[in-house]
Amino acid sequence: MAYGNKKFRRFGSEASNVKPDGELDYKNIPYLSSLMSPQFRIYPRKRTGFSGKDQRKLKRAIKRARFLALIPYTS
Amino acid sequence: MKTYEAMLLLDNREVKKGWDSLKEKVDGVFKKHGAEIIVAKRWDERKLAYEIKKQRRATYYLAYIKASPDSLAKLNFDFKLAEPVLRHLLLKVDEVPAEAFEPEKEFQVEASTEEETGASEKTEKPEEELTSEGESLAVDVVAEVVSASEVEVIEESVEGSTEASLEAEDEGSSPLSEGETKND
Repeated sequence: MAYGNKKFRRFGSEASNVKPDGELDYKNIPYLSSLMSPQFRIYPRKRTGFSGKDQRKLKRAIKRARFLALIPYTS
Repeated sequence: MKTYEAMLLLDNREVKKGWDSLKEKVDGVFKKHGAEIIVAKRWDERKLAYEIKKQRRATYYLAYIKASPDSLAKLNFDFKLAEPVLRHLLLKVDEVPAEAFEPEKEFQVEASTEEETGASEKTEKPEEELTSEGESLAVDVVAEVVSASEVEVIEESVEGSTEASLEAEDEGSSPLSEGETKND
């Protein structure tokens, strides 16, 4: 990450390169649930450690699963 | 022609009427708009995270189709109108995943248990509520009976002497207060 540039610096931990352990697909409910809090909120990048690309995939997958009532919107 | 993935939530009431006829009906919508079905199978029968059209459970139907992009809007429109389809999602996929070609898992077993679970859960839940309410009611009744019987006994003793009546009133108040705490 660009640590020199104050405007775009990510606070918290240093950039990590965590890759998803499973497919970020709306049908993969057990894995998506592991990336959500018990109240079904999506964990932030700081917590998942995903790249921006993977985090967006996660967001999309979870929102699709919510639409199909596979995961609740709230607890 | 592009490959698309379609996930449909089907009404369990329609599924119970007959899976084959419903499948034909749904596949007919695909075919009507020139979509070619590659694989189509029942994905799951599960409890919904929230109610959709007053339904708590639904059957998930997963289909991979080849269709022209123009027909997607028509498909979306038709599925929105179709009554057995509670909700649907059409997505573009690059290729059909290998799992899609696996045969339906325990379709027969789940189909038979599905009605049982679907029906039993519907009946079980009210029963549970009833029993919990019934238990609490029973507890209340017992507490009332106990306090009432104690009061009667005290009243009998009251007839003996006026001095005892004052004590009995004190005693009479204490069981009642106990009864109130039991109610809580």
